[in-house]
Amino acid sequence: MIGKVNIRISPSKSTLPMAEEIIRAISESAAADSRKAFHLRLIMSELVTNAYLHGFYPRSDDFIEFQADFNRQKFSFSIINRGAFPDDINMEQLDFPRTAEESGRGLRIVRRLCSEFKVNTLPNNRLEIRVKFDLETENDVKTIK
Amino acid sequence: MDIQKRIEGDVAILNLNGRLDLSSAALLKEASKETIGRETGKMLLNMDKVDFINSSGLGALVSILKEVRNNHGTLKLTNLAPYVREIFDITQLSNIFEIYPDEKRALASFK
Repeated sequence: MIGKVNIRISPSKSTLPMAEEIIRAISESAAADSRKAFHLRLIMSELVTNAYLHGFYPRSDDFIEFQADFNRQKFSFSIINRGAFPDDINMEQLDFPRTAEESGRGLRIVRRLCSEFKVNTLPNNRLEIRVKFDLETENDVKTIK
Repeated sequence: MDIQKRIEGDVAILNLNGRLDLSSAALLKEASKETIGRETGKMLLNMDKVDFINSSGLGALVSILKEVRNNHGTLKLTNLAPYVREIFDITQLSNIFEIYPDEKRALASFK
């Protein structure tokens, strides 16, 4: 299976369920089995939700761009939104033990499931997160300590 | 997400149907509020028909658990789909929640 999807969506309460449905459809198209599809859906859902939660407030006149590019072996996903990485999270903290109630759990799940995870700061106060997911090999899904 | 409430003995059961994410988290919290206020404080979430959960959904469950415990109640989960259960294991929330494979055993555990 080979595919490429580009989506640009304005962030609002009503568009989030639409984005989630698009994500579900992409994951089911790209993954050969239901477990991989669930993991893919989870990765994209976390990143899109993160963009909705952290990338736009208080602006609502902007948009989120995400791109999925996949073949039988590899799934690449990137998402760009206005804003910065959440203030309370940095790359080092993602690997540290946390309590049950803190924020940042979603990004740590993504880090555990993906083979690559990169954050790029772009011009004009925009942020890009790029991830890669192996569709053929078993991904590292060790528990978050 | 669709949420159906019913009572078995002194246990309030919420049957959840659909995906548990940011869009549905508030709905679940609201539905659980009424149950938390019940006299026995025993609540069971049947997640048989939850086909997807993300960290927003997990966060909602942690929030409900905290609220239940603050009210001296008990919250248990049952019928988690294998992939949903896996996310509980990855995040180690399976160490925090009482999770039962089926409703019969979950209900028995309240006695």
